[in-house]
Amino acid sequence: MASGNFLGIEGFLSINSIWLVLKFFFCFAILIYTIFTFVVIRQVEMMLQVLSGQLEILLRFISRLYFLAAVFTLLAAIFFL
Amino acid sequence: MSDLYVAGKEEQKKIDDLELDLPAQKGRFSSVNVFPSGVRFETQEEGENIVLLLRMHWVTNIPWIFLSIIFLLAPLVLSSFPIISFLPWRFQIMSLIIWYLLVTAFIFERFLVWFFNVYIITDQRIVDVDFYNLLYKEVSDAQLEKIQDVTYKMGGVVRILFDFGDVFIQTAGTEPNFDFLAVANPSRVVSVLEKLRERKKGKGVP
Repeated sequence: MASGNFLGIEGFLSINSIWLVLKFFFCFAILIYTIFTFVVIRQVEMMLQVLSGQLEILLRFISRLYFLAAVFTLLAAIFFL
Repeated sequence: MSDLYVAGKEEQKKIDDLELDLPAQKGRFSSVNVFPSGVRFETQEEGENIVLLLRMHWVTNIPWIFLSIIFLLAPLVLSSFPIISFLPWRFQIMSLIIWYLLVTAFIFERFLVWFFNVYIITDQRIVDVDFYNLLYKEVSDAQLEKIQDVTYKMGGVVRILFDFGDVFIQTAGTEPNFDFLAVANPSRVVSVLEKLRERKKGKGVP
């Protein structure tokens, strides 16, 4: 009986550890993605420096929105998963 | 998405002055912009006017647009084959969000690369702006008088159908040669270049 309880706790812990490891991988992947979206903001700025006057406001807006979406997803992954 | 963008009356006068054989259509996502108003490039000099701003023909975007649609619809199709159903529902939702973020990244990157890879013909020179990836760009230019030979090549059903092709510009000396790839109305682009060169040699800058 006692042995059965012990195995049950062990099983419970191992399952939770798997989800914890998976959560870490999800958060790490989204963190890399967030860094990428920040690079995209810089890239758009660099591109607009080379050629300006067309769709400037729209492209700046989209690149920032894109970064915010990534940050929001990262926070959601940290607190929700 | 139209091929050409031509701005107001002032620009039309410049077109008439140069006798450019280009139809007047409008659209901010155009592949060919004739005397685009308000557009400037990094190395533009005082008094230098952009005559043509060229991008690859919009038809060249169809493969990645098609691929994007497949990527966007993939989760719906894959829902019939539950490959991530062993995960708790919160991980499944997060996987879906991450997938759509990656697809958005793909679409935005492809658009940026198309939009900012431009070929510029000014009344002084030609400029080729290339963005190869996120952090690498190459800007090359050559004065109009350095141009020795301009040719264009059109081949294939799609190119004939949508009237686009490659323009090859050979320059003198150590200047790099320029390849304007998949630009709309290549014969007209060559004709504009010829007119600008003649004008520069003869009467001076228009």
